[in-house]
Amino acid sequence: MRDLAFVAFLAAFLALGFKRPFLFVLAYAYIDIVAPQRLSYWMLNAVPISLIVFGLAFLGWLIADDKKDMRVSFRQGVMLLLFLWCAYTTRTADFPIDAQGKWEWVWKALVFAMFLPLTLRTKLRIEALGLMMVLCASSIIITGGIKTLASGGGGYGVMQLLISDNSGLYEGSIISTVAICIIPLILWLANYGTVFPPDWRVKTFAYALIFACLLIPIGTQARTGLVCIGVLGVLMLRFVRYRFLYAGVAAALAVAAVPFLPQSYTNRMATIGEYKADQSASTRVAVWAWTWKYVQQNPGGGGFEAYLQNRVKFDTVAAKGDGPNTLIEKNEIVDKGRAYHSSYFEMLGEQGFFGLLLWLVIHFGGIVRMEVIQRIHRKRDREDEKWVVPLALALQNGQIIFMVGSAFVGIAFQPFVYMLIAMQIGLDTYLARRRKEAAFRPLIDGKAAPKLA
Amino acid sequence: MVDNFAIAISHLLIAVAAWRLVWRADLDKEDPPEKDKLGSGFFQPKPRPRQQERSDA
Repeated sequence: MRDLAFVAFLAAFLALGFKRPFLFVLAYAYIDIVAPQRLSYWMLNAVPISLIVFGLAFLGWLIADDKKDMRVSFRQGVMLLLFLWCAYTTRTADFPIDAQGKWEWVWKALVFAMFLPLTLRTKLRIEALGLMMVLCASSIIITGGIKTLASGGGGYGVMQLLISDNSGLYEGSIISTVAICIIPLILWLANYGTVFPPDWRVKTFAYALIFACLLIPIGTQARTGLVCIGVLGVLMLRFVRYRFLYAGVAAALAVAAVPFLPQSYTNRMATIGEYKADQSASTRVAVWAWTWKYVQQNPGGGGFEAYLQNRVKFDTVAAKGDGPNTLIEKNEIVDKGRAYHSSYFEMLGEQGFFGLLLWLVIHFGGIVRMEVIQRIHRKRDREDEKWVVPLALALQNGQIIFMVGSAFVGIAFQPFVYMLIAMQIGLDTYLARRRKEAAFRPLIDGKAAPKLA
Repeated sequence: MVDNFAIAISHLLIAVAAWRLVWRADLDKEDPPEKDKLGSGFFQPKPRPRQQERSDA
């Protein structure tokens, strides 16, 4: 039954695309985020649906879209360079078969991120993409939120988010990071949206969704999420009028929330401070040290999945008892093939110094460009551009939260984040074009021109 | 049950959004923006320095 509903939904979505080809682009974003082919057991999982829809989106753009005054940004160029570099490292990878497996989805994410800004030619399209990303992610977030409320979460890797597959956006740490980093975007849509103009229903849904987003790190018990919430809290300080009041209320709410958190959650979060005794955290530090040593010998990186060759040995140190009877317990743990658990080290180990540099330019470039945009448009202060500054800040905050969260999760190529970047680039090129159009004046304008006849 | 509810509500909203987008003319084409009050570059009228208002009071 559910399968049939998915097929009907997608068919209707694509049918609308034939009327407005931009909807193919949105349909691809939908497939990429929700992955309906993984939620169904029939038909959708048998056809290469994402490839077909990408083809439709590209053809739609090629045939029907206005390409006059098309702009390409610097970061799209850097993405192309990263794409070529990854293609090269995949060929020379230490584990060619595994590397090929990751390359299969990485190239799609990069190509779509390069293509997407070309289609974002109007304000409504930019808004539509943001809305689509939020609504698609909401299908996972609402489930997670309700399950957390009902049961107090299921522990890391236990809570099922629609599918029992701990991969893609459905993985606990990833959805925790993504859920928090879209909160600024949800707020923007609730205040400046035109597809769903702000009214009490939109606001109610938006706040409920934000609440669900905040519950995700609790439900999945991913410590990264807690760090992200902290970053979001600090970032919001910049925009509130009464900062001390805000900080006080936020701290009081956080303290008040502790008794309601499940015991397993508070226990796990308490391990953030005692990483020496925690195996998961100790492994990370050991893997990062291994990666650093590895790139000294292989500055070009080892290609995708290069971590498979690591073999790390570390001690966990735990203090038991208190006072003079404290017993220091040391356990030696040997581990191999441990993932990076950090996007920065993922890039360094897999793509080397050059790949990491490109990646940093793409991501930090987002933070810088959004700052530039918000400064330009704050100064312009035009009535018809009131939506620009808040959107630039929302995208910037999302990016900052991702940059902090990704220090603890290996999500360097997460397609969702590349869509966020594509949205930033789209906004940037769109505004550059609009500014130019608004500023354009013929050398001699009609009124001032001397009449000849 | 919860899964189906989440899927239903999100997909319903996506469908409504897609339907509304189809009928919006500004999805594909926008009106040109209003011209800036001040032009940029050479040969543009320069802004006049603001004259301070004087009050006799």
